[in-house]
Formats: sequence, C-alpha cells, structure tokens
Amino acid sequence: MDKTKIEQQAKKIMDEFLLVLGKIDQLPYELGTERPSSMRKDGATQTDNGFSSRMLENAPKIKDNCIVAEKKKW
Amino acid sequence: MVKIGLEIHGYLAMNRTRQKLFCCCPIAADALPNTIVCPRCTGQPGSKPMLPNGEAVEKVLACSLMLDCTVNRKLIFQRKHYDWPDLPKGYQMTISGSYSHPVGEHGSYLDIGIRECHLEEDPARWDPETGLVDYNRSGYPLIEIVTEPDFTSSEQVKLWLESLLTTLSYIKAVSRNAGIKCDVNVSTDHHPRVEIKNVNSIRAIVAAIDGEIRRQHDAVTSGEKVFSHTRSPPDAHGMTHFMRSKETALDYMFIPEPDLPVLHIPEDLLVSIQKTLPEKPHLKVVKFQKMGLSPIDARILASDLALAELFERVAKVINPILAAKWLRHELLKVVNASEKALHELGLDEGYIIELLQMVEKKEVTDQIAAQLLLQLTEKSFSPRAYVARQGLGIISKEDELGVLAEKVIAENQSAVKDYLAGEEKALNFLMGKVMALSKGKAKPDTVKMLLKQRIAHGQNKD
Repeated sequence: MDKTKIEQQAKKIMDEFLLVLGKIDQLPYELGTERPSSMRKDGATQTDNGFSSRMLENAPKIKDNCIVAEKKKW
Repeated sequence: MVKIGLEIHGYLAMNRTRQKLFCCCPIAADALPNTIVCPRCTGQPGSKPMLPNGEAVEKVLACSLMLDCTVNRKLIFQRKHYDWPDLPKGYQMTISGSYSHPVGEHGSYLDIGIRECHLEEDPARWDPETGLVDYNRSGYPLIEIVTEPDFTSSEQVKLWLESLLTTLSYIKAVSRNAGIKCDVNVSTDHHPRVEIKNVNSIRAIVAAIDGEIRRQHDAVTSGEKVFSHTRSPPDAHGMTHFMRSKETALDYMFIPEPDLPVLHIPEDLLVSIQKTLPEKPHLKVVKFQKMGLSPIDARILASDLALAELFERVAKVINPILAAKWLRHELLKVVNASEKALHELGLDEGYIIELLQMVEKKEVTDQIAAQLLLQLTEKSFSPRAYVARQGLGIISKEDELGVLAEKVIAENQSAVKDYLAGEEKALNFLMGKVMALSKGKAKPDTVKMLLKQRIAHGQNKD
C-alpha cells in the first residue's frame, strides 16, 4: 500500500473519530486517575548526560546541534 | 466596532525548583541546543511523565488569584493533539480544552475579563524557515492567560499588558526576561475573528492588531468576505500571512492524560498562597497619589514591588514627597548603574532611612547624601556616624561660607559681570564654585544668599 493511500485512510479514520467525539456532551465516567500524591515536591535538577548525544546520533539530519525537521509546515 | 481578545503565554519564573514541568531536566535558557533533554521531555516511546512540578502549579494558582479568578481544586491534564515538528509526542499536556476545568476562570483585571488561566508544557523551539528544532525548551512550564474579547484598541492592549506584567512580576510568577508570546484575536464589525499566532513582544502585538484592523477594513471595502482563520506572526515588513483555517477544540482531539493523576489542590495550599499575595500595582499607584505624589512618580515607584514596599516603609518616617524624590530619582539612578535589581543590592533599609532623615533635617547637603547613597549600595554603614567621623555635616555658618564666597567672587570676575548683566546662570556657576570649595558641604540656600549679598556690596563700593 503506498504512503499517500495510508495517509488518506488515516485521515478518514481520524475525521470519523472526530465526528463521534463531537457528539459527546459529557463523558459517562469520572475523568482522571486518583492517586495519593498529585504534585512533585521540590528537588534538584538532573541532566541525562548521555541522552543528548544518543538522540542526535539517531536523528536523520542534524545541524548546529539541532535536529533538522520539516520547513514551513504549519 | 473592534473586539480584541488575547491568549498570553508566559514562562513561569521557577525559583525553588528550576526543573521542567514533567521531568527533572533543568531550565536553562542559555544552554547549547539539545543538551538539557531526557527521554521524557523529548517524548521517547515508553517514557512517562513525572508528576507535575509543584512550584509551577503554585505559581499558576498565585496568578489566578491575583487576577481574581475562581480557582478549581480538581484539575485534569489533557492531551492536546497536533503534529508540528516542535511536539515530539504528537500532543501537548495542558490543563485546558474539552472536559477540563482550567486552574482559574471567570476572573477580571483592570476591567478586562479573564476567561481562564491554565498550566501547560512548552513545545520545542522550531524555526519553520530552517527546520531546525531545539528540544531544550520542550517541557518548560508555561502559564496561559486567556482574556475575554473586551479590548477595543491596540493602545488599550498595550497599557493593559504592561500593567499585567508588572502585577505578575510582583508575585515573581512570570519570567519577564523570557518575554511573552501572544495569540491575538481580532474581530471588526461583527465579522468572524481572525487569530494572529505567536506574537512575541508588546510592540509587535500593537502592530499586529493595527495591521489586522486595516486588513479586515480593506478586505470589506474591496468586497471580500472576512472569514475565521489563523495568520502568521508579523514578518520583517509587519505583514501577517494566511496559515490555516481556525482550529476548533475538536481538531485538537483532547483526551484526559492517562499517565497523570487528577491534580488535587489542597485548601490549605490555596489559603497560604492567598496570604502571600501583595497589593496590586494599580492600587499602589492610587495610594501613592493620595500621599501627594505625582502620577508619574507614583507609577514608577509602583513598577517594582521591592521599590514600592521600600517607599511605603520609608514614607512612614520621612515626608513622602521627599522620600519619593530620593527613591525614584537618586536610588533608581544607582540601581540602574549597578545593572542589578533593587532586591539584589542588599541595601540596609534602616541606613537608607537614617540618611534621608539627615537630608530632611538639612544635616547634609543633597550632594553629600547622593554620594553616601551610592556608597550604601556597596557596603553597609551608618551614614550618621560616617558624616560625624568625616566632618561631612552641612556648613551653614555665614562667616565660614562668607570667606569662600568672597574668594570665588574675587577669582571669577567675568561671571560676576555676567550675573550683573542679568545672566542668572552665572550665579549658578559661582554657587558651584563655592560648593566645590566646601567639598559639597555648603548649605546651598546660604551660599546663594551670601553671593548675592557680597556681589551687591561690591557693586555699591564701586
């Protein structure tokens, strides 16, 4: 199956989902998960030193330490 | 008829915990691109968010209360879906959108309705021109303040935003240096609203509004229909461009974030935040004007909380107008020269009051007091003890000053002639000479009187 056809099908599924979602005024269940703690307390910052280089190594294209993504795509 | 509404995004100023919203990566504006990142803030498959940063939640609560919003105590993060390169997960975590209750809602600030205040994560920095993406900013805690469309002109927006930023700086909630980003919605003559995205300075916001009002007017004049859509921020020539049709909440497919629990705001937290909120700047301006200050002095003193509170304490023991003159002019001159904020200078307030009491009682000249004020920003000492030790007290004895005045008159005969010819400036020049001879300690009024007296006496003799 070619890429364009998959994209069209995906869009169709999402559009249909949107239409169904739009008909819901109120969800039939209570939203969210309850846990004893819901906020993070103060703490020191941490840096994952190796992660940055691993991420950039896996990027298809990099420039000036930035990943090069699409241009002018709104 | 023009209606303008704003969606204001500001970076929360994190003081205790300089961590991102859902991970422990530091907030560091000057870091090299993509060096303060982790699997969480770059949305790597399998990564889960940490609980939200508690300080960020507190800051948004404080902002909501400052803007007289009703605070919701049960908050649910949602996923807001869109697929731009700046959003690695494909969704943004936010306390807004369908099914959510914002942190604060139904507020009001200076006669403009506040629809809601909420907390969300910032996307990455993406340059659409080059395609370059830096994920350092991904996950920074942001506040979004949405106003009702109550503005009617760009000038009103400008003044309101300046006041809002001062108010938020009072509670150290928003990082002023990081700036704000605004989505501006403009509707003219009941036409559908047009949104201009990501306008990043007050000046640009004013230009965007004025430009959009003109554009809609021109469109109608030439028979075009104004339709709801989103436009780009103004380019180098101040022009905005069509980006896309306007999204609705449905386009974003909001769903509750399953990886985060319901955020419960304890009543005692809300009460403790409420207790720490300062008086709002515009109320301080009114109060200062009632104390006899000019509108400009009142506004400048109220523009910084540390300065405003210092003025309030000093004005309890010193004449408020004298206190305003010294704090607004002399102290601010010193603060600006230091390139630090007032609260960073570590000034001993007691010694400032002591110095200004000496000025009020005319125990030192303004010139000496200004020098002492500068020294007080560098080290802490008692001005009264220092003046006594160094013999810097004001000289008002006429016999002492008379000698100096006569010496200056004798050495500056051309200035004397100018003064006699009607040039008032020449007298100021002579006064300056006497002040210099007295090392700034001469009482100016006495010097002036003596100079006039001696010059007149000399003329009579001739």
